[in-house]
Amino acid sequence: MHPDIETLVTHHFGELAPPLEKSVALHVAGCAECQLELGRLGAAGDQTPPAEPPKGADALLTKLRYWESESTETHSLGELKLRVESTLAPYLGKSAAKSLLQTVRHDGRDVLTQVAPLLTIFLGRRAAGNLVSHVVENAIVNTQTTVRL
Amino acid sequence: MTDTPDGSNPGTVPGAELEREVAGYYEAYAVQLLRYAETHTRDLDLGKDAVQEVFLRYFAERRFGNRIENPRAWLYRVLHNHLLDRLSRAAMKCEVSADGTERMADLQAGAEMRMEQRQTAREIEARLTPRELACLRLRVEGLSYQEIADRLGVRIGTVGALLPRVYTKLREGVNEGAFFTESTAGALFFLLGRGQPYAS
Repeated sequence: MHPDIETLVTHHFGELAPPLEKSVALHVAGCAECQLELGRLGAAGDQTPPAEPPKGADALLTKLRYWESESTETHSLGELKLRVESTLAPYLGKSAAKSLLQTVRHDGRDVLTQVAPLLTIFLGRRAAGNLVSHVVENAIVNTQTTVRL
Repeated sequence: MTDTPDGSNPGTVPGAELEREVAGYYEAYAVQLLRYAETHTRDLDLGKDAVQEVFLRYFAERRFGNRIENPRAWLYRVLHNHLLDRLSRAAMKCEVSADGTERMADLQAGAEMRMEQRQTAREIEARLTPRELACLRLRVEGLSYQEIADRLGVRIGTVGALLPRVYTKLREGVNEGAFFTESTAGALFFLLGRGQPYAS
């Protein structure tokens, strides 16, 4: 079984704990796919400048502030819990998704604080991380998700 | 953006503090992440958009209270998955990059040649399945078998089986006289630039 991309990145930067480092190194030695990915990570660390450098942090902050102002409109936050519930329901079941969100504030501001640790306990770090990313993408960042309950 | 610490919800990060956090990681990692994106796609705009999207998602995830243990690894994971998703959908929809379309215009020479190229492209498209056509397009763009497999979300063995089938079908077409051989290369460029049957 392949290490996930986060583990490969951590391995690439030499930050894995020794027992895991040893098993990942052993796997990578015989896996062309992981070697390809490590090659990509190595290329990312190349010192030559990229063809077109990214915009500065100021441009990013402008984008984030605009997104924040759009996403914190009252009706948008009020629907946030419903969107998160709708996004989780296909994976956890409607009842489980509803239960998971019971302790979340009405405006949903603490949704990940409440939900992420529980998902990690029940699903494991990798699956929980991917599911949380899916929720963020579909229910928080891209808010065109239709609420389906 | 106002700095509004929420004392009743210690999980979320105050606005200004979060901005400093995100800006710090952006300054530290944006160039590397963009280079990483460039190993997946030659489309520079796609790469830059993807990097921006990843930092927006980081901001959103932290804004709504998630703790991220290893931000650098997290950024790479989300970028990796986002790119594969975008590229896979683009391959299926046979999206055109503006650069490819402009290149194609340079290749067209003469009305008769253009007609032959269109006809050959139609013939090629009719003989191949959608998956075979997607594979051919990516191969003509210069991607390796592994890169094609990543884009289409299939195993490398599947690509290894598909492409020889494509080549066999193309050879059969040439032998049957269905293709104007001199215009086959031009036809392939048509297929690169147009993702659907041609309107003449």
